[in-house]
Amino acid sequence: MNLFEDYKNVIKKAVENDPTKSNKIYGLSEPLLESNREYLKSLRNELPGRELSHEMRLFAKGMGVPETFDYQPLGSHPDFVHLKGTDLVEEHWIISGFIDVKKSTKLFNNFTKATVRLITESIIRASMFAVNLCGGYVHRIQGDGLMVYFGGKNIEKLKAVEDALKSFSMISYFVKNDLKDFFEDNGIQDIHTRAGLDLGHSKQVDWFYSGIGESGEVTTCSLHTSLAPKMQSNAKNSGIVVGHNVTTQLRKDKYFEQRSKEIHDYEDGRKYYQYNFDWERYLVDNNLAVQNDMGVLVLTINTLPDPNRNSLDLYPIASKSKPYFNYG
Amino acid sequence: MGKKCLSTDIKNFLDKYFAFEIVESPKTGYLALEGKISVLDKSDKLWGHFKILILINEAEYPYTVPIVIEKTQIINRDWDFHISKEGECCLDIPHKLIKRKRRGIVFEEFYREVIYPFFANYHYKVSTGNYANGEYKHHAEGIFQFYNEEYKLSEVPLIINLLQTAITGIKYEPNKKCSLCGGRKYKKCCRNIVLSLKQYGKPQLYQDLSIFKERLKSK
Repeated sequence: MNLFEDYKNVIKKAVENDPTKSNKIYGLSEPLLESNREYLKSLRNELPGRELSHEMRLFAKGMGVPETFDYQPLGSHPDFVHLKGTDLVEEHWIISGFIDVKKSTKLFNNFTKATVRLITESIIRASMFAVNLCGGYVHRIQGDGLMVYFGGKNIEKLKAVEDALKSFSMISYFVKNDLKDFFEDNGIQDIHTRAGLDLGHSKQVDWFYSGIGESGEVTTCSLHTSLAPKMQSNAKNSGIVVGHNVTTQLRKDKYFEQRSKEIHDYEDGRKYYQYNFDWERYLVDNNLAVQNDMGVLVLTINTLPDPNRNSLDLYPIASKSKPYFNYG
Repeated sequence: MGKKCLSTDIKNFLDKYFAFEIVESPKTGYLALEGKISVLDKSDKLWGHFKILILINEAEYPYTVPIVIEKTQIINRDWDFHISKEGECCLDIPHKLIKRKRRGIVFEEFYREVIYPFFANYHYKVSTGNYANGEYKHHAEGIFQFYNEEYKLSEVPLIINLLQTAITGIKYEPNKKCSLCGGRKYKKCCRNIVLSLKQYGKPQLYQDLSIFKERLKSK
């Protein structure tokens, strides 16, 4: 099962049909660009929309997501939407997350603007699916990145932390395992995600309406919302960095490696630390991924054999073994 | 050397294969790893999972062959599936395992090249009715088969001569007629087989010798 297959296929087709490479000598004519734009327009329809693919539905079912799954509207968190246009302030805990694709500007060197647009949209849509699947709310789309909230009034804090970690792990997986090699084969090196996540407890987060009249949004004021993008910028390639508050909720040291430098100094002797999150181990431990003979992760929630498996694909691995019996 | 080398190799393995962990060993002197093997084919299609226990001799490592026990009991405890009643998996003919042992194993490579393929091969057999690369017959018949396939040998008296030469270390004149089979020159004839047999070590060669002598007697 490849959860992100449809997104990947659209990106592949867009790249394969991009006219830049084949027309380097004579340049791109307007009719050529127009024909490519038409092609991409129809290709865009192949991206999964609100109607999920079979694989996505199976995965959602396996995660216990109701069949009525749908995307949350962008912007105001539904539990705090009543603050819109008011002067009210509410304290409530929230997990803030930032994720984006690094080195994506390199795409413009190799492809037309229209191709880059479809690649970016595919990644964003796949990320939005992963966020919504795990109960998160996309607050804002920023180019090829997302600002996301996890948590709310009707969910336990630990569950929201787990959801946030699962969601960002799945997005990291998509870019690292499904896209990175493909881009490298097409001359674009080192495309990767970087992500930051932090939890602000209720006393640490104010929800309020920021802006004037209709020109504003319900948002949070919190040290921990502000630290999340800083953590993102500190993350290694394909890495997720989380704040100390996240680690104390999960209480599983094996996933977190403390970074030597703190992310925030309170200047009263206290320091707030950041941690590298081992998202690959987390996906395997939470039965969201399995590993092949080489240790490469494959995202799957299904514990049953794939009905479309073919013994010819198993042969290269199985034929390394020739068993013998010498017991009893 | 064994323990230090083992702990480095196991750390590398556990940093890469997340479904395994070190557990309390049921056997003194052995490090125990328990975990789940998920068999995926080259198209990343899932075939099934097995819970397994791997025991590694700490003192002998890397010159050892890990013991692999299938815990889920998915594989029928039937000798046609090359598994003991207790779930111990017969991974390969002893000769090939001895070769690996004498060379020294790197656990991660052993997992990838021997353990994982054994479980993939189980699924291949269930799916197609045969093992992907065939199988060795049980007990003594499997040893005959190995000599036949590996060295193209079928004449029992010649095999006995070769084994005796490998065990005793008798040296023959390399440029003279082969004393074992009558071929043109020993160095271009049976010497390579004798050298190859020596790699299996005397205990295995004595065992093979007795099997072949028994076969000769019964004929």
